[in-house]
Amino acid sequence: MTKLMEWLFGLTLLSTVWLTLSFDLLGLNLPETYQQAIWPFPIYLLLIFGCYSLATIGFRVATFNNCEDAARELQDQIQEAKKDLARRGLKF
Amino acid sequence: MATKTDQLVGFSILGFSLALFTYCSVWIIALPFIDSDHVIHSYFLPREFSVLLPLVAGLLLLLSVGFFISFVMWKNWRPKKKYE
Amino acid sequence: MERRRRPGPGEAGDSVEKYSVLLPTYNERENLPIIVWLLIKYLGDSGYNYEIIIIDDGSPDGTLEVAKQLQSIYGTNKILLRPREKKLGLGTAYIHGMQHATGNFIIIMDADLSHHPKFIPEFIRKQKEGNFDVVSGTRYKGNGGVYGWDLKRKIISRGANFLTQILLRPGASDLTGSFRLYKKKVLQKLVEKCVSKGYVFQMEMIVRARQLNYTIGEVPISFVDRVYGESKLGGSEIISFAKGLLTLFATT
Repeated sequence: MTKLMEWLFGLTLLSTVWLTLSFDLLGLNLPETYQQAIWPFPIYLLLIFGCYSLATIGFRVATFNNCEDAARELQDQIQEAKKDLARRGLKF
Repeated sequence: MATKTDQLVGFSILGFSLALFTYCSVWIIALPFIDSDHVIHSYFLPREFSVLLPLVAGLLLLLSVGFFISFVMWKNWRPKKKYE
Repeated sequence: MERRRRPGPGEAGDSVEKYSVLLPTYNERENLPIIVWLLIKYLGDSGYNYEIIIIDDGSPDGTLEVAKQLQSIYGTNKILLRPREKKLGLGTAYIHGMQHATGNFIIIMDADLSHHPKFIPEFIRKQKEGNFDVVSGTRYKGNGGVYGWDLKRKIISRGANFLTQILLRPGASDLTGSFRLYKKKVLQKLVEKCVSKGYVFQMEMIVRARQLNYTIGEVPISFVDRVYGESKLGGSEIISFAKGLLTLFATT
């Protein structure tokens, strides 16, 4: 099963549940307050996903390691390498 | 350690999304269960907007993505100079 | 009691591992001597058996010239040259490089000094730890990181990586990285199966590896981007990345 198919399967499942509950297909007759909370659910799920994405990306940007030491070390090593190679006869 | 700017921007985005999540959760899930004469309802728009606003925002997002793609494709209309 | 000594360079043996480093180059005249020097330093100190294979795609700046000089300094058993006439793409460069590689492990990396050879002994250690088929360097986990990227680049990078994690659930944190250690047979199998180019090629390698149930280990690395002033991440790169991602999403 491809990832796409997994997603479609999951979405179909969720849609069926939502449709059944929203349009009262099973004749369950839920109280009005529950119905009020259920019908915007697809939008709510999208919102949750959107917020989760933003939160995760925001957190990961805030904790993205900035490797200053590595850059400095590299600079030093470049100098060292150039000297050593020149000594060994490399014509730059 | 990330740079100060990165931390500032990153945590702001994080904070904003948490606030948005809280607001929407209360709006959509909690409000129906709270008596309609409670003062909290005055902080939230009518229920229809809880679907309309995200839909409009989503549409705008899709439109922007569409524009971005069209723009990039238009810019690359010239024959490519380098081989890839 | 017999004490086992780790085989030194050049010693023959049945189960001695040899590591072939593949360096595809294009216009790296300045960086090539440095990266080779660093490779010799860190791999030499480690005592592992290794060779460096330089695959130059007809660089107009004389990279091959420098490569030949390096070969005369360090020896033709340590430095192999497998040049090509023109720029033909990374996948074929790996295939070309592997054809005469005598190692049973292949290390792929960038030759522009963004990847630092000091991590290679860590890759090797990690590989031995879990007998991993693939060891991938990651910029996104542990104390891995980046230097030389502005905020916009970092946001796009994290955003793209987030999207790939959500859609592909690949089991590796850095899909677009190209600093990796592969068992030779595994790399051969994977390159055969992959069809994409650029960033997506590296992504596809990991995705296919998962499909074939290969094990993947990770080592945090630091990535030092020194290509200042050049906009490497333009709109078309983003679009082709998205296209590649969606293709992998729909087909694997």
